[in-house]
Amino acid sequence: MARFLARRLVLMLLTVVAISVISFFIIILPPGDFVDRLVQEANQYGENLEPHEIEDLRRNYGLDRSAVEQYFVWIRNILLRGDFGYSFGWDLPVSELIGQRLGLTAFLSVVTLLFVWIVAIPVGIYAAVRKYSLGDYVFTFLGFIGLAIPNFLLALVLLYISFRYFGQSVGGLFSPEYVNAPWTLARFADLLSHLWIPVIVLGTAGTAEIIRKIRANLLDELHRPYVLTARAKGLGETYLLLKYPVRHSLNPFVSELNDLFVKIVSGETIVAVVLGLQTTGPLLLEALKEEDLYLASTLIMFLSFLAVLGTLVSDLLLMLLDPKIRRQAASQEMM
Amino acid sequence: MRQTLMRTDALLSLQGLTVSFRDGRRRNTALRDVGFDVPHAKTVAIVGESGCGKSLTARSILRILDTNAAIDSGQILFEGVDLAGASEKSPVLHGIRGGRIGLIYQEPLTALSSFYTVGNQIMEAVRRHQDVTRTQARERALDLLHAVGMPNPEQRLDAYTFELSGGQQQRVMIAMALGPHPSLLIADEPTTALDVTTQAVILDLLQELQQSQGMSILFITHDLGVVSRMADEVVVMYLGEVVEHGTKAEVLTTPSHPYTQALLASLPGRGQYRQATIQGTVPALEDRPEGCAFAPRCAFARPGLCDVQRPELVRSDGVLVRCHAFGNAAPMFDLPLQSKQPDTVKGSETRQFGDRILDLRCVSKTFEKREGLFGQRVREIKAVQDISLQLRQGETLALVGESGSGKTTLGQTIVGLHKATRGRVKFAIEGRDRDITNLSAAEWRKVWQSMRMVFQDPFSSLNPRMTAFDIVAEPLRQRPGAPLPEPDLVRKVHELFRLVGLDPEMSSRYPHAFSGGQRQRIGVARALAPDPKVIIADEPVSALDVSVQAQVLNLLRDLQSSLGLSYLFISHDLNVVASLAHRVAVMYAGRIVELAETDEVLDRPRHPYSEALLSAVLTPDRADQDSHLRLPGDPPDPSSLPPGCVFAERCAYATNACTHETPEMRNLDGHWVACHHAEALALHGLRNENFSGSLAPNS
Repeated sequence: MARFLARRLVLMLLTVVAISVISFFIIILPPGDFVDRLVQEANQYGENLEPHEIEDLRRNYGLDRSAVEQYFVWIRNILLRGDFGYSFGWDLPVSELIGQRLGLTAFLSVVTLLFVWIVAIPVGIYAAVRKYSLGDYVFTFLGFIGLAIPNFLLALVLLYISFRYFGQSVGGLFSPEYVNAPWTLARFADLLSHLWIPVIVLGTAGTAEIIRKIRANLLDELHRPYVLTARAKGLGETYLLLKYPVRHSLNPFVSELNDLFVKIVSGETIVAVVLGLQTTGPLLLEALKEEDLYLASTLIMFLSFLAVLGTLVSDLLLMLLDPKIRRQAASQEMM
Repeated sequence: MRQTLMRTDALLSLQGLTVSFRDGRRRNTALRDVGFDVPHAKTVAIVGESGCGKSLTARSILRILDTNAAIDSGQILFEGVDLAGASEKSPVLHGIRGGRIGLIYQEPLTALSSFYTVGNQIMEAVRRHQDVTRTQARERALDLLHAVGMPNPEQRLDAYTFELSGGQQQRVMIAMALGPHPSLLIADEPTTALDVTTQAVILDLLQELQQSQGMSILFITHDLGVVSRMADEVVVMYLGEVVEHGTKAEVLTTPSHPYTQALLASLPGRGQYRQATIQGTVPALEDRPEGCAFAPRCAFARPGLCDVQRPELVRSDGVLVRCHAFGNAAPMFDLPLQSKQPDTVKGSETRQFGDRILDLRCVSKTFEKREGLFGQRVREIKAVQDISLQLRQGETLALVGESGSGKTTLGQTIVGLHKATRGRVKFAIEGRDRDITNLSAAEWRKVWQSMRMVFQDPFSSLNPRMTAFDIVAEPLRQRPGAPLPEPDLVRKVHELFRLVGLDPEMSSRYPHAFSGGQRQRIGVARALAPDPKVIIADEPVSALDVSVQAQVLNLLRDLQSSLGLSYLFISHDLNVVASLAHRVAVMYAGRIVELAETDEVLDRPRHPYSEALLSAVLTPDRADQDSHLRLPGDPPDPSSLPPGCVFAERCAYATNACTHETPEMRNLDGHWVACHHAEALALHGLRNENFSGSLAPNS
């Protein structure tokens, strides 16, 4: 087990390194850099920069070196000093910029994931056990609506409702008075009161999908021989349902857990822009547009780290859930 | 008037039980007026083909029917309670379920959950019905595993199902069912998925437990050999009706109902006979015939009576029979009914085989499994080792052995689905002996025109998206060289349909429209399409009911005599092998341990493994088994085979030499055997036991 974990961590590290290389070079790849954008902007305001000024700028930003060199300097600083570089666009160290936002993104994603589970698992079980009942049809209908409505539209609708009927401030994760306040219990409560809109927006499609999945998985399991065995033992119907077929049906769901997580993290960008959330999505979008090299690379690296971490968590959950996988991992047969 | 075998000591009594399935707006009767008793401490067997309602009866008793099935009428009296009338939520019903009536059934691997340890599942059954603590329940579970003869029960308690062998899994099922001391055990095909040797051990166990606990058993099986081994009374069911009910001797020795007679007659016999068969198959529920359900397939049916009026269950010489021939209309029939004798007998003396067509020399197949962090460790799984054998033209050579013995791998290696690790396979085609061990894909395609396979499962081996015509025509279309003109192709495919006894009219249908036996015929037609010389048939009749099995075996025999085909027939069923094969090769742990003429192997086996295998064979007239010949343990793990003789650790005759030296294959008067003690042993076969030797079993 420890060896399995060690191997997975090594592989994880390699994956993150590979991602950092790819993301860094993809951002560097297109012609032009941040200085070109500055020159362009200056031109728009009728200022002309002298060639040596441009050279100076390049040197200041470290953009005069080769791409490979830039990458290694960046990585060295991360490893040695925890310095993720400097955001050209914001004129701030990257770490200062993303710290809180990354935390908020992770928090929002995890809360959304929990919301999806809490709603989808019981509803999925109900829909499978009461197949073709009124409830099943209602949930199926709602589910398809949830899948079909684009996130930004749902976000707008919920914003309208919350403003019109609950008198809540529009958008953002905090009320204006808390935006720059230090963390207190009151600020956290304010966060929670704002969180429900993005959580519902981000979670609806996932919930609908998971309900369909759980329902289909469970329908496959409900008529398996081991269910009959449990029933023939004289066990109560609810108890045996939860202990046997539900547990068996969770496997494919857990193995796809990470897909869902990635979908939430990446789907967050549009919603965050619409709702004005201070998460990583809008920041990344802006950084890419501005060719803000270090900010974009760092964000991509962290987001992929979240995804890789999600994979590990879902694999560990799978092991917790399925003894067969556990034994395979224990006997070092799993790659 | 209710007709059953009269008794007052019935533990379970079914009366007029009628169960139906809802299908859209229709209701199809699946069990019709089923009535019989299960007496205290006795075993009642229910037999019949699949689709006759055997399992449905069991599930009705426990009231664990699917939601689309319902009990329409009738009573299920058990220990003074009418289970049929009990409410779904009744605590009495839930207490009886699993508490007073235990259930075990086929496929223990799927019947147990792989997510919980076996201990957990046994303890759950105990705690559901008895007020005990966790520790007490664990003690009890351990005792139960001891009682069912589980090796290392302390460790097995915390094992998962996938860590146990099939026999061990079935022991767990039995332990679980026996946990709360039930008075009735319902065993639904409990040994069908097991090897014969394991079956023998499990049947012993059930009988022992029955005697020690005074339990009654309702034993459901399609295997008449098992019935004769286990049953006190036999209930024969056909299409949801009881058609015959009597003691074992009455039903199996002097069967009354034409269906029972036909079932017994279609069992494979020894030698190259055409077997009697039952025409057609069990009809679907919605096609239930008017009158007698069996009439359309009955050789004695009288038009105007049997196809119009449903016969009553009548008593005839102590047996209950649902047939007009035994009722008031008896004078219309010539009693006693006599099944037709098998048509043709091909004298075994006149057998003439052609030249050697397939020649295997020291063929081995080793699979490699990579392990470790970067797959640096390689574990070798020796699936097939040093196999040498020859197949002659027109001959049937059977490969027999338990599951995991390498039979299937050998067959697949010969046809090139696996590449042999060592050794040569020579195949006589195009007038010369050709080495087919290392061929390119294009060359294999040519060889596959002459060497074809028939697979075990007729349901999954046919592409459901192709019509029967396309399935059979595919090998012809794939034939190298100029394509066959369409009219010729159609003519050829229709000819093949007729050859295997199918109506060419049906060729435009898809596989799901055919019954299991018909699908296997399509599989045979597909194999025959390019006029092959050799057919490798991997358990081609194992998935079929006896009556259909007999039809397919007859077909294989007819095709062999008309087309001069050679068969390599892979089977675990020695009864089938006895009826079809000219020679038999017995495989164990990837090696051939014995190879000789069929009668030689079956009647005068010279390898202890063959003896053990034969002792487990059950037929209706051969139910008394020598229990000292039971095979203990399981076959060795092919990735870590023991040194010396692979069979030594399970062999009753093993000596020190056996665990050190690997026995070579030796020729004793044309009887090949790989055993150090072959000359000295006096082994028991199916019939003759006229051998004498000096070694006795040392167990």
